Amino acid sequence: MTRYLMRWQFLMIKRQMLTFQGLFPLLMGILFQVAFLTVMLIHGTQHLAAAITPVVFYVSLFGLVQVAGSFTQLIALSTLGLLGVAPITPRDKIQMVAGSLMFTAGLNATLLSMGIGIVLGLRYGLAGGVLVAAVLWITGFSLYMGLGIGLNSLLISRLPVKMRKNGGVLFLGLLIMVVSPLYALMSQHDPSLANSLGGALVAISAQKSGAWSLVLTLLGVSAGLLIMVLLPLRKNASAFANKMGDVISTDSKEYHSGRFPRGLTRLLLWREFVTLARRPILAIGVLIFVSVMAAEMPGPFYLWLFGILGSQIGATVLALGSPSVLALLYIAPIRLETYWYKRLISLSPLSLLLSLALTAVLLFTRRVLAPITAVDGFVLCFLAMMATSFFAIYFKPTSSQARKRNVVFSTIVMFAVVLVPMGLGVLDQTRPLLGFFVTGACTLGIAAIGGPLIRRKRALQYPFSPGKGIFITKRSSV
Amino acid sequence: MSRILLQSRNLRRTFDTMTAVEDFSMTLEAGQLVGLLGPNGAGKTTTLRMLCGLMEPSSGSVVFDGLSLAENTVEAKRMLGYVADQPMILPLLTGWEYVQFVGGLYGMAPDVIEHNAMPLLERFNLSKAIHRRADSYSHGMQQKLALVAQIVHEPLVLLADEPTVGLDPASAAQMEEVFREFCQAGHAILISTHLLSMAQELCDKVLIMTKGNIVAEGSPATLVQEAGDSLQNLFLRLTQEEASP
Repeated sequence: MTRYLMRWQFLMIKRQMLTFQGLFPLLMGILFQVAFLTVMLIHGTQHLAAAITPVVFYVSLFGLVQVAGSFTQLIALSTLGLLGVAPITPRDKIQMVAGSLMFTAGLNATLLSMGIGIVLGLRYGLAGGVLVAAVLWITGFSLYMGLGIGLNSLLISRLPVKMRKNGGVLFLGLLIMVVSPLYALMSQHDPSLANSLGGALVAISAQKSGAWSLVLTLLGVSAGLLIMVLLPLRKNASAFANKMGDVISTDSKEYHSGRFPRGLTRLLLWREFVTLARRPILAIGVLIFVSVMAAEMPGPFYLWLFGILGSQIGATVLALGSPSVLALLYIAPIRLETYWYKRLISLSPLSLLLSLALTAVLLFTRRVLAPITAVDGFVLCFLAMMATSFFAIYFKPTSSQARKRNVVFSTIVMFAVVLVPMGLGVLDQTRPLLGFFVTGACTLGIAAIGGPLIRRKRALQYPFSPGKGIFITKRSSV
Repeated sequence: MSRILLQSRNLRRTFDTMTAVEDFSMTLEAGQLVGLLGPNGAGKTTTLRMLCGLMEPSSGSVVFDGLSLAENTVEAKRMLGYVADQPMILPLLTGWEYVQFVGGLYGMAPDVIEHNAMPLLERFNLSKAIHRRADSYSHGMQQKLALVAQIVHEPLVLLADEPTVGLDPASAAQMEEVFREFCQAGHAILISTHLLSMAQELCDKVLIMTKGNIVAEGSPATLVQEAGDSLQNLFLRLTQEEASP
């Protein structure tokens, strides 16, 4: 039965991932890592180890998010719906889940190892690059399996049933809250210890003396992590797998709102507030994540974090819910450009709050931050929010295009909204006054032309037309 | 002749090589309840999406009470309500908040929304659940809530895509009663359905659609009389003829 389930599971994974559309973003992720590290090295990070360590840290966290989240989802899926009613033993389901996650873990390990391997290979030669990529792949894969599945399942099995569907998120939150401040403190008090992972990878790729003992150490750690999957998984996962049906019991709490606002801007602000208030864990998680990123940002150029933050906020411009819920917006008597402007206003308090948090963390970690530079950060956050939200609405294919072009286009736009804030952030830090005017001018420019551009593009008014990328392009049901 | 609230002319929709709707023309007068009947894949949902502005027609026009949907989009949309086949429920909001939010999108004041919505919510037995999150409701409750939210701004025209699917008989009957009263108040409804019994009992006129074309049009009684057969048999004959090569 396990092999049967795995066969179907891999068919679905193949259709989802092993296509140009699935792999192109992965490739771009690797290239982005390489570009990032290259920029770091050119612009002043003295030590490769100091540049590599935070990249490995962040990419590992990203991979853990993927694997832990996928684990919880897959366990839920395997116990609900079709698989929930079919006569399949928990053991078979868990093996299917573990097998599927090996693929996710492998992909994320590839993302982790390839970028670092390429950079170190360019520096220390092909053999060194291949060796470090292989070791990092094995370690990363074991980390994702061991922590993302093994430790995750152990923690989830200890949670009350109703909290288990959020188990992955809670696990990661815990991990971030424990590990990240430790790393930040270490970076300040003992940088050589904090960057020891980066140092080890450099030593391996340069094949310095002691490199092989480092390789063996990492492989040993990997073995330990894999044991974490094999031993606890079966016991812990089966303990809760059968009860996941209880997890879907819904929230029967009552909420009484006060006075309702009038006017679109106030309505959107109100909804933003309600959404955050009813998901406090998410709000706290975002705040912690922002703080951690700010504290651990390597090198002298950290202002672009404001841009990244703004981009993330801007990407939620149309996030009312699922695509079908978005139709509510389109049937209402509201112009899309009006919605865009008012949504920006409703997102501004969040932008301000997170910019304040970021500034506080930067000052707390003793970065030098002149007043004009701090103001630049706020403006950069707002600009990135505005630009990303505009891109999210405006830049979509307006006619049926080949899927490959869609993916390339979307991925390039995605990286543009990351790289442009990076460039402006560097300008803001090197020439703050000029940066202020450039960022401000860009903000005003987008605000002035964004609305008319959205209004003039007729195709944007129709969310269900194919090739209009607000919704997933698929053949509409007739 | 009653006031014409909705008029569509030669609506057509193609997707690459496939034509989902060939030529859809109809008028909807004040007080009318029209049923759009058709088998799965006939083009009913595509038609409704074009009529409410969610999908751009390949050609043709839609006019609401004299206002072109293409040229006076915002003003035309003020006049319509749309109930989708899947309820468009916002996560995290309670039923009451959802109604207020949707009403707010139409520019209505909170007290007016309350005045219009409460009687409907009570009728649909939702008043006790309105302070619970709407994503915790059953499908039937969500569908009823979605209808209330789309009627509260008193649209001239209501477009409903299979609104009674998933409702228990009592709820379906309540919904049909609300539809009748809505039309009696001078509004108009176009309902897409494949429930012939509902069409026969409820609708002033039916349009039978298959493979993107209207193949029959008229009141249920007239169609039955002219065909000399039941509505069901007429429907099956027409839709199977179209399906045959």
